[in-house]
Amino acid sequence: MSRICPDCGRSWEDARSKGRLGCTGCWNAFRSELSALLAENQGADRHVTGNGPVDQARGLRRHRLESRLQVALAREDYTEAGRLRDLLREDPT
Amino acid sequence: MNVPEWVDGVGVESVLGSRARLARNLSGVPFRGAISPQEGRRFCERVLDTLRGLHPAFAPLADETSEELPDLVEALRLPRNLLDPQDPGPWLALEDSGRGVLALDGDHLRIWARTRGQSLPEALEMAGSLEVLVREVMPLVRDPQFGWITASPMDAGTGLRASLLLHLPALCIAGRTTGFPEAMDAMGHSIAGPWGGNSEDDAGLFVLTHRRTLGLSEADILEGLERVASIFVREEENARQGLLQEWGSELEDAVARSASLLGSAHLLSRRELSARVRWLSIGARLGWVPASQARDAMEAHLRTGDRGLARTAGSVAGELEGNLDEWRARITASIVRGDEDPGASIPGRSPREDA
Repeated sequence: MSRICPDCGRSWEDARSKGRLGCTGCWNAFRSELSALLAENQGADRHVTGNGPVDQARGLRRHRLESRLQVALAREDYTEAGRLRDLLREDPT
Repeated sequence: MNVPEWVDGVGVESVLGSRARLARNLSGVPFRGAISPQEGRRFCERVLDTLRGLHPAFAPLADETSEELPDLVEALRLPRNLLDPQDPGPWLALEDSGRGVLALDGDHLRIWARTRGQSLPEALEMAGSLEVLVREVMPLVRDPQFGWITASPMDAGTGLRASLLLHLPALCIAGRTTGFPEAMDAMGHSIAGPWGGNSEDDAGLFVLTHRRTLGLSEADILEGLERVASIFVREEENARQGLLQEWGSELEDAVARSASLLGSAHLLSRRELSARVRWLSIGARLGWVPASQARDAMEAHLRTGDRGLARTAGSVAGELEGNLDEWRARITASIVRGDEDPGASIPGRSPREDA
């Protein structure tokens, strides 16, 4: 017998066949089934706790600017290096 | 119709646009498919009030009753699943300046941002900063194990769906796109035409996205996507040079014919316009025609999708139905001429109707 979500009444069988859960409560009701499904399809069943999308995006952008600055310095392109250094100084991170 | 900003990159770059979408949900509200129409409508009104309280510039773009939905889908401003008659129900789209919220499209909230060119971190930052505001006024549900929980299990964790809009006309003409889906599958990514599937009518446009959303950080996801995109950019360049070597003056002829035909054709099918966009984009990249010609052709392609064109034509006169190729040709010629209101080339239609 398929498990039922107590909040919305959707069964695991139904959720799985539709590829869509009925409510946020389904995540608790079907935790073990979802863990197995995600481990199989996503290669993980646990979220990597990060510092949020804004900080992730800013960190990535800063990392890019720093890499480009290193390339500009290695090429002795000091105009470009100065421009990139200014951008890094203005960066809110 | 507002033409998306990424169109300005046609004939200039292979990565036309970046998009980041964050799926977020609230407790106590059923997901789409389980929510009643009345409760769904009330939820959409709550989202509208809350978001306009946060940011008054947010304007409703469309909802399930909007007649212009086909145009918005064909212009790639709303996802095509909203046209699915098998999945009815209320939803609401709000936007302002390249970012917005889609309520009840699967998830309760899909907070998105779109930027020009290859600029995924910028798109994610825009979507993320809007999400921070929303989180202050709406109780979004996060699970200690699964992270941001979503309507589809395949979006859990970060809830992030990042995508790049690629323009690969040379790979299409060289016949090298058929194995794309399988190759991407093996790399944990997926690629498809922007209107679903992979069609000759897509003007060489593709949407590249990732499959994993869980067990990776947002930055990992963006970097993986950019790595895969760089392969396509390199291969597109190789395919363009290959066509140049193999076809020589025939390639130049195809580009020149496309340039002259768009302003003079009396009948223009969707497939032919799609092919002309591809040739002109290659010609622009090779410096044979101005990039503005490729851009105009793409604008015509977006403005003259079959669904939107049939709706426009059908709304002004019954006899226009079935004559879509003629109206496509007229609108295209009007765009090429630089007319202020290309939609006015449909007889009986006031310029004001398209405003």
